[in-house]
Amino acid sequence: MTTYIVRGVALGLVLVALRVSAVSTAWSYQADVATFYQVIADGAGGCGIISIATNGSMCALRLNSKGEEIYRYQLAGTSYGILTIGKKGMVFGEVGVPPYRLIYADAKGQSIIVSSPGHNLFSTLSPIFRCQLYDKKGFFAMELPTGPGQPKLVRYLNK
Amino acid sequence: MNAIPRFVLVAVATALVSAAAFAVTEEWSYGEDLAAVYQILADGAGGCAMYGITTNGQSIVVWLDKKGVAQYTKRFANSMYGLAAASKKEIVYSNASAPPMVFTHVDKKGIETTVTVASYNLVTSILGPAALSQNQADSKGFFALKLPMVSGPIQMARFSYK
Repeated sequence: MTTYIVRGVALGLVLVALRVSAVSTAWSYQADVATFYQVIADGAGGCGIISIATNGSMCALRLNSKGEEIYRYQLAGTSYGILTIGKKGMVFGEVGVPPYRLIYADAKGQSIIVSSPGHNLFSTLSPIFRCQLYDKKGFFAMELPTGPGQPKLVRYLNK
Repeated sequence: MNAIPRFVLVAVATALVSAAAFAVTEEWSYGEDLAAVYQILADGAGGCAMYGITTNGQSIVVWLDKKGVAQYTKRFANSMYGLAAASKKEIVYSNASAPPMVFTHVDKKGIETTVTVASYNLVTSILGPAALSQNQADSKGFFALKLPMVSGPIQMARFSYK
């Protein structure tokens, strides 16, 4: 009896170890993206993205935990990136005709323009497009084709 | 009361709550002599710590409370490696003074404690300002910079999601 228990515990530990050390692909996203400049995990399995589309326009995107696009904003000009993303939504900058402004998009995809008379609104004056490529359940990476073609953003799970 | 169907009242209330929930408001701004802000770390309680440069070229660390009032300010003639941490209880920053470089821990009363390691310089990242971590939001709002379109010092502003 003791032997069976020891074997059972050992097998259980092996299975747990195998499970912990695994990585699997949850989904991938491509759409019309030519370049991913910034990816920030939202902490719930999704992410915010600043990208260049195949038609040359810069876009702010949000993907949910299933890799579905739940928000898209075509920037009038460029951006210095996403300041923050989370349950409340995401905030990103838009650099077009001054004054530069922020866009706040809530989790439902509604957006508000934030501006301040006489001022350009900006993130910090540090390098822009800071990325956050992981959360507690997995991480994001880009698949770049070795030949011609579009890149993909891939969501990996730690299991 | 019976004249207005209950579902109409519920719909109106829901619409009002929904409308009220989706907004952004500037709560306060800070900055009298800021020329640049390189790093912002929200403290999770509505305030933040920031690292920047003043208009006379000094490095500056400021810890602001949720009302935008500076509860700790320190200026340095030398450059810095920025903030390592910020919470509602403390901030930690790296001072790139003459070696050995040290970390300074500041509690919410403003009491400083110097952290040193013999024979080592303590820095946040060898890349310095190029690799500073940022945290520009908490559950109730976010922080951004206001750069004057004409001239004048930079301001750091707190925006709330309401």
